[in-house]
Amino acid sequence: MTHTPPTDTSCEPAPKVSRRALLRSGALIAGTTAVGIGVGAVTQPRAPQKPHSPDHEFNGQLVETQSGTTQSTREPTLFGHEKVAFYGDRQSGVTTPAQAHLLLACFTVADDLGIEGARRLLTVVSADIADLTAGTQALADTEPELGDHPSNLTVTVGVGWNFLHKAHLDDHIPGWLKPLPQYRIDQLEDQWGQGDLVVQICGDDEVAVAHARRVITRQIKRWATPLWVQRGFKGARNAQPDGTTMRNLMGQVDGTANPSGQHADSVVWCPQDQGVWENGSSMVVRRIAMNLDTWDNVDRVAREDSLGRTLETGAPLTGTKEHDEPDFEATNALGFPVIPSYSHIRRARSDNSKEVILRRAYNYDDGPLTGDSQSGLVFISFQADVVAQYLPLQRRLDQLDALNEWTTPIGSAVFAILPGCQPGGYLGQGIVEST
Amino acid sequence: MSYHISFAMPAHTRSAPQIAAVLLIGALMITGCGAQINAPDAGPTTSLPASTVDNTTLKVSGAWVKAMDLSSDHAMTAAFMELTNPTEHDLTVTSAQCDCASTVEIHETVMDESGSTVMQQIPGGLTVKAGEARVLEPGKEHIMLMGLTKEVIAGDEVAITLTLSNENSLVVTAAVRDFDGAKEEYSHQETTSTGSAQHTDGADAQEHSRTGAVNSGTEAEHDSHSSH
Repeated sequence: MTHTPPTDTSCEPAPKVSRRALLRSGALIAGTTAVGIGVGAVTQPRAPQKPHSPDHEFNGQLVETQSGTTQSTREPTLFGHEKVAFYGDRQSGVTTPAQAHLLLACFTVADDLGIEGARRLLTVVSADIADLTAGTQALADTEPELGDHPSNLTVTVGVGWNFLHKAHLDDHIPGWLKPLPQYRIDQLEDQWGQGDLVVQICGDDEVAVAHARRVITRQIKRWATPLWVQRGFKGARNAQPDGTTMRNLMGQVDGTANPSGQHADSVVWCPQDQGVWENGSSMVVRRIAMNLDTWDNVDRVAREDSLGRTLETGAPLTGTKEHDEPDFEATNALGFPVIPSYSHIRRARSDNSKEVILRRAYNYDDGPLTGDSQSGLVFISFQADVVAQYLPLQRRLDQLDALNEWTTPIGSAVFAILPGCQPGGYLGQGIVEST
Repeated sequence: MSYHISFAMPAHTRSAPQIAAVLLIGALMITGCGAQINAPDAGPTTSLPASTVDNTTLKVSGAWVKAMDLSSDHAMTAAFMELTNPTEHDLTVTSAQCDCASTVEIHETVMDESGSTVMQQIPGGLTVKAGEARVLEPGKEHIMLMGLTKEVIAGDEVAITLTLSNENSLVVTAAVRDFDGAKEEYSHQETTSTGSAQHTDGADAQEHSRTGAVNSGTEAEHDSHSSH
């Protein structure tokens, strides 16, 4: 069976003119099709490109400014109009190449949500996402200009087991949708705990991201109360070539081993045997604090040993380039493994090819509130089955991972990502209406 | 024989389910207020060939209704939408109906002699000129749903029938949304001259600061208002 990837444009509704554009244009003629005002083509999300050296990135001319700095005369590449399709068998924002900004909003839903409440909530959210990601005015949106430039906005919706319980959908709670085991390394804080509903908003323009959060939060407040928000960032759009692996705030190239393409699809999406959850996924959110103050005490060699990769390029200690396959058998002159057995990449690697996850992490840096650094990683992973794929990996890292010395999980939550929807439908329709 | 034609609106279709399905009435079944109304079979992404597009009626998009419960004594709310006239003739919406309201009127916002903002029925109805569009939105023209007979809950849809001056009718499927604006307290007054209902801004302080107070119009408020 073939699936329509969420980035497919075939099911994108016809371009539509915003209310504002309608007024600006003054007149409309029947039967005309696309009108250009305010309507940009749906673009494929940025495909990972092979990073190239800075020498080859620059096509414009360098000019000396009065201040003596060099400045580009190249026309800026505007991306405000770029869109990621919302409608499809699967939600976007999962295998979509990670945008620059993350806003992860978690909600508690009313105890008396019921099946009708769930239907209404998901109907409203789905309609809002369709408009917001298309850059058109959401219904009852009082600041529509803030959404004019979606900049690859994606909004991805997931639910906790309590959402399904409150919606009287207990029969449809997937077996893997349950609390994670308590790990030795965890120092969980209630403020980042499990919620009922999660809305992952990602985009290359933080204004559009903030606007999406406000529109959605406002439109679902009848049923859903905000529990927490986690913001995150990667390198700014166009600061480096698309597809460049991010760095975390410990300075490490982070996410090199991520699956891609069809492999990622098989890792992430629930297969047919998961019934109404087919084309859904699971999302694990771990807020991982980094103790950058003690990390400061660690020299560069020890830092690289703890990760198993070089800091400069992210290459495994047995290779020269980032994507070289690590050689865990290689030993040094003294007979010790070149990539230490306690290193993060060694511990994260499983011999079982099913124990793979798709990481989609973002940095956070909330500043020194107490004198210590308040930095870390909003770790997000997607996988078809938390129990089969994530738990074995996390168990190994809990038992031994050199990075545990400087990292502490302080938040933890698990959600089921709803399957996608088509125009006229809403996210979760197949689950809500299956009973 | 009953028939209906659904219009795909390629240039300004909103995403379903908030698409305003426009049905030309022959003998038309109108689904009750609050009931789920599915998008027409043709679906919002299907374009009819230009030759079959109806050129005698208005097109509607972005239709929504402010959610309202029945707890207040004068349970009423309003519908908002974009109306486009693709025809070569001016079209006027002369009346509107909704299963969920005992009285439906087409209102405009005007300033009365005291400088206060007053909403009243538009004499003669709402005209959309040939080839032009009009937006009904909070603070401007709107369709007033008075005497609600059913709760209007966010996430549901409401069917509103618009009757046009050329005797066509169209059914607008409006999505219900919670909305904190449009907080005017509508005091239902019969005016002797036109017999239409009037409602004025009520006690909401925010609304006052924006549009000027009712019955307490000071000079300063008049000034600020007229400067708009």
